Amino acid sequence: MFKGFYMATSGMLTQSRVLNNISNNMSNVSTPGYKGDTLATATFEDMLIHRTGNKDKSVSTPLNTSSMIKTADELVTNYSDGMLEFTERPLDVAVQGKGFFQIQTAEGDTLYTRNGSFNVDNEGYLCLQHIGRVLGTDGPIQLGTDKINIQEDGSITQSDTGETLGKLNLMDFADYAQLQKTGEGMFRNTDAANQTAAGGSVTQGAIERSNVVAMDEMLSMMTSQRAFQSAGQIAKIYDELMGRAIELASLS
Amino acid sequence: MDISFYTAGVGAKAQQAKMDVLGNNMANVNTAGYKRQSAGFVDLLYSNIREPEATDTQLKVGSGTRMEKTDIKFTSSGLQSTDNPTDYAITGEGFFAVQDPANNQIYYTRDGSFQSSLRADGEFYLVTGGGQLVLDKEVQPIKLGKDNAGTEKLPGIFDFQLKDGMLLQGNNLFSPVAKNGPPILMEDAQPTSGYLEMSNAEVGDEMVKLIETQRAYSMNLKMIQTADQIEEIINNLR
Repeated sequence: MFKGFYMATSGMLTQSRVLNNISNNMSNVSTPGYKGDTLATATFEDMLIHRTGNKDKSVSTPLNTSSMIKTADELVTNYSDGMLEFTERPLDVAVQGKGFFQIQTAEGDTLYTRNGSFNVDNEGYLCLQHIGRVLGTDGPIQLGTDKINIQEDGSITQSDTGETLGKLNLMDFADYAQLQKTGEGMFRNTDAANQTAAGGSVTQGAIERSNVVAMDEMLSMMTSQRAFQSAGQIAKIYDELMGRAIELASLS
Repeated sequence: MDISFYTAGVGAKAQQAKMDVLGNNMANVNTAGYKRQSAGFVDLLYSNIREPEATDTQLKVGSGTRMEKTDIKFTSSGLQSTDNPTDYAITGEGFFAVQDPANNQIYYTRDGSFQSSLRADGEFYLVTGGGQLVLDKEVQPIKLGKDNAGTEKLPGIFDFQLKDGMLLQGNNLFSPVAKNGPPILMEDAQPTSGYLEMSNAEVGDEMVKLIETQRAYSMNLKMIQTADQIEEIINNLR
């Protein structure tokens, strides 16, 4: 009964989730290393509609399919590169091409990020503030100075003495769908076999900007809002029709 | 629950905070020895839409952004000739060390617009605009001759192995934290007299960033407006 209500409201609910996601993208237009998300929607269980004869009920002809409910299905992250912004800060590093920085959290987890706006922690290690230390090829990188040069391959040398301090260890993944966003610009890899060597190079004195395209988000926001409105309008019309149907019954 | 309202709200707030940082840079384009700052953002937590928290799903929603830090950019900038013998500029790295006479605390600055000041002991000292005593290589206050010129001692130049995380104290002063390490005297470095180091904030650069931030801000406001209209549609369903 009243199937139309559920269909219309599922549309509204889904559009509101789409808007929540767009809102998050818009909020992060200036977040370095941020990768925009798209909320993919799906219909819930398509059903066949049949026609059955008026007198002869034995034969039914399939007419078409009807979906019962529209629903949010999956959050798809767009891993395309953001533009580089040159900051002239010695501790800012950007990845060009494929690859992620590896960050070791205080709990010992390894997380991945494209945000290379690093700092140096109290013990002199290269770190991402509030997350953890940056992992090099031989574990965390102890600098103790920010007078450093970082080559394209990630090797770090002290600029006045030329002493080698460490090498950034970039990691890439065969299937980005296995990555989970955990917030604060970090990604978690859910399948260890997924790791591959990174082909990208690093640039010192630059950060990768958010890959959110303002125009796209604005357009999606508008379409989503209108879709929400349409679903709402249909719910309203359906309510009116149902009201009439009930009135009819009271007339007889 | 429709969180887009709040997500866009924190986004707008973060852009506003960035605007404050840019505004401060803009205000200091003519401050000698000023080092510009930049704002860094991170995105906030993601929560599952359907499944309980702490399960791995591909269906999540983020909750906005936060201004994580402001970094100081210590790049040097050009020198400006002032013909004033008590103005000093540092070419290359390093800071002038200055001491607050009230609490003997030592601060560091790139601003070399010094002047002479008569102190209680009847001597003239080289001081900053804020009244702090300028220190020489031996970390002693610099006394000036009677005619306010011809100082025998030049201001000392000190550097730090690590400049990341230095605290801003206002009045163009920095103070080091534990991780910056001890100040290192740069023996060979000579301050250039009669010159001031200009601010490294550039109007053009800051302006472009300001416009961009303003656009991002208004985009987030549009999102708030849209979320509001969505609520209105819901309220008008009946």
